[in-house]
Amino acid sequence: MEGLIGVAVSGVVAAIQPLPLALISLGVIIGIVVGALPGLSSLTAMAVLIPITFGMEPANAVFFFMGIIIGGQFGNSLPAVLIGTPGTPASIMSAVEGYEFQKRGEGGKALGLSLVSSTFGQLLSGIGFVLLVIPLADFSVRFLFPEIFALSVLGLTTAATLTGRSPVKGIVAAAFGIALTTIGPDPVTSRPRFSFGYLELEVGLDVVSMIVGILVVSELIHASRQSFSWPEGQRATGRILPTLSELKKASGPMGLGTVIGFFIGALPGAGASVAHFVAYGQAKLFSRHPERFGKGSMEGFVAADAANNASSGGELTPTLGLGIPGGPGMVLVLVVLLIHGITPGPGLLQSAPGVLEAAVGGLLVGTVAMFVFGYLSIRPAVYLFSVSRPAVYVGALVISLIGIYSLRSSSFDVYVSLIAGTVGYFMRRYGYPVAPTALALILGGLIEENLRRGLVMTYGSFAVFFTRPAVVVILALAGIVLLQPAVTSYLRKRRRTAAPRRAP
Amino acid sequence: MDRRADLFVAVLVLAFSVLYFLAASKFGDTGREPLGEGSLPRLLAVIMAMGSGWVIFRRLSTWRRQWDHRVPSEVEQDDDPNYPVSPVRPLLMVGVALGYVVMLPTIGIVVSTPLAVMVGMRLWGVREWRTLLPVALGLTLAIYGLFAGFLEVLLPLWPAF
Repeated sequence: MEGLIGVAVSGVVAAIQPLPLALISLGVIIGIVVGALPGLSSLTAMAVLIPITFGMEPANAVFFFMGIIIGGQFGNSLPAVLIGTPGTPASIMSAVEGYEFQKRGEGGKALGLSLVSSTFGQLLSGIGFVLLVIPLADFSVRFLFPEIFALSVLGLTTAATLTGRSPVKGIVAAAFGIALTTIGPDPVTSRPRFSFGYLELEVGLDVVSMIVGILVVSELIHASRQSFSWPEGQRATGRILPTLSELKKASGPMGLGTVIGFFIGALPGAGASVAHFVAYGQAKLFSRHPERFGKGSMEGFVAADAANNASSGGELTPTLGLGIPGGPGMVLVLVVLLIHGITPGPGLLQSAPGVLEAAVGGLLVGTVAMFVFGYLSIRPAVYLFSVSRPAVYVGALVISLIGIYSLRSSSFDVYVSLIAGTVGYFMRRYGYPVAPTALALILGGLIEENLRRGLVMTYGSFAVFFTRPAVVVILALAGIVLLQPAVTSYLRKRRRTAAPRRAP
Repeated sequence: MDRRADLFVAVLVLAFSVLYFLAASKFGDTGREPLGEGSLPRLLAVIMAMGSGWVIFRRLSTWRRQWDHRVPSEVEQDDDPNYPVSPVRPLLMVGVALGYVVMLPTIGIVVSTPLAVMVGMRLWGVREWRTLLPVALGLTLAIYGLFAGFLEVLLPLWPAF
């Protein structure tokens, strides 16, 4: 433990040297800008910038990439809050709640809350990483196929039942998303399914194109029906950062989101999206005002945002502790380390202590940099996103389509994104929430693969889902989340019918 | 929300579930694992069919009670009643986006982007050329700088003819 605290202190000292600090700051700025552009993410920027890191020291490359990851997470909040367009599934609930703030003319305040909850989540997850990296790495190894399956089911049921006004339609939307992931090679046998002889379908539809279509393009098409009652050229005036009393109210959900985000982030494969939805769902379960959720609830907003950001520290745990990437961004961190001849895993502290120091230092100092640059970006972003709404929406649509094209230079992907966007538009029009579909696109493959591989391991016995304690707890939680809307609605109806009887 | 539209969409979902189930039924068991390639798709088809069936049942069971076909809204974002927009506009936006994607490989981003931006903004009701032109050119320049310059993406920049 003392050794790890020493690593954290050395990491912070190393991170505040001129070159590392410049790289972290540059990374954060790139992350914020790229994260704010619909259709692009910090992942794209990292993938493109890998060659730049060839000439860097491994620790400097880690500083740079940690900056991009951290900046990208806050950058995603900008379009989510200001035009209701989440760039990734891990910012869907930020869009749902944050956009309500923007409609009330409080976009700047929402971004201030987002900045504080992001900083809180990142800092605590960094500290958690230092304190818990060894026990958590041991713990996450015990999370096998059934646990990952159960966790994915929990994330999906939360998204299905909490994001729309009709839970039944939410479940249909989630099933539709998983159905889309079944197009292409089978996860176990690799034989193509639902390809109907088309080569493009045999390799499967690109998940990123579909997610951008379902989330971003559909919202941009849908936006052309809206009047937008807030004034043109709105500026973020007055206080951006929350007051002390607001912070006091937000601290509980922020803490809850941070804990959930950190632990779910530490599980290989689960990632920020699941953490984001589970934290939102749990915040609603524990809230005194669950009726405010979906209408600009501060509790839901900060819990989901803190969880999304806290997953970074969690994701570092299996990435550096076991050599298993905790999330998509961490895959690229691993790639960079492997290019430099460093193999992450249990012996990393002995073999390359500088890298571990850089990861911790980058996370903690990067968070401070994110707070500074994020704060400076809020006022210009609020103004820029509202200076001419037609320009912002049409520009965002064009950038999304070019962004999709740039991933694989494939026109087919852009057509897929456009079709997904049109389907998403009609889903929104008729009450089928798009958030469960987007999350299902990420988790669908994970659910099928883990379910089937799990059953192969147990020779077809489903008992594994009822005998492993963690699986039972997680699936029970998923059951509660699934049944909660029906039970609440039943109780409300009973109360309503009982009230007139009591009246005379 | 108009329940006739809701009913129509639910029937479409039901039809999709049936077709999806039939397509999934063609996958045989591999014999090496308890769940075959078609198990999850068939389960998903059943879930979608049950969900859409529930929506159809709910709409039809109360059909006689309401004459105006209006039912409580279930959409994520309601239309603004003071801002009646023709349903054609979103479809035209899809058309603009489709045209842009079709034109892109032939005439390149330098020509297709300002065209798409100007047509798109006109659909949103912007008429003044002094707004349309600078925004279209500025966006094209920004996209060129970001993708071709900074990210070094291989994009069709100029007309191919």
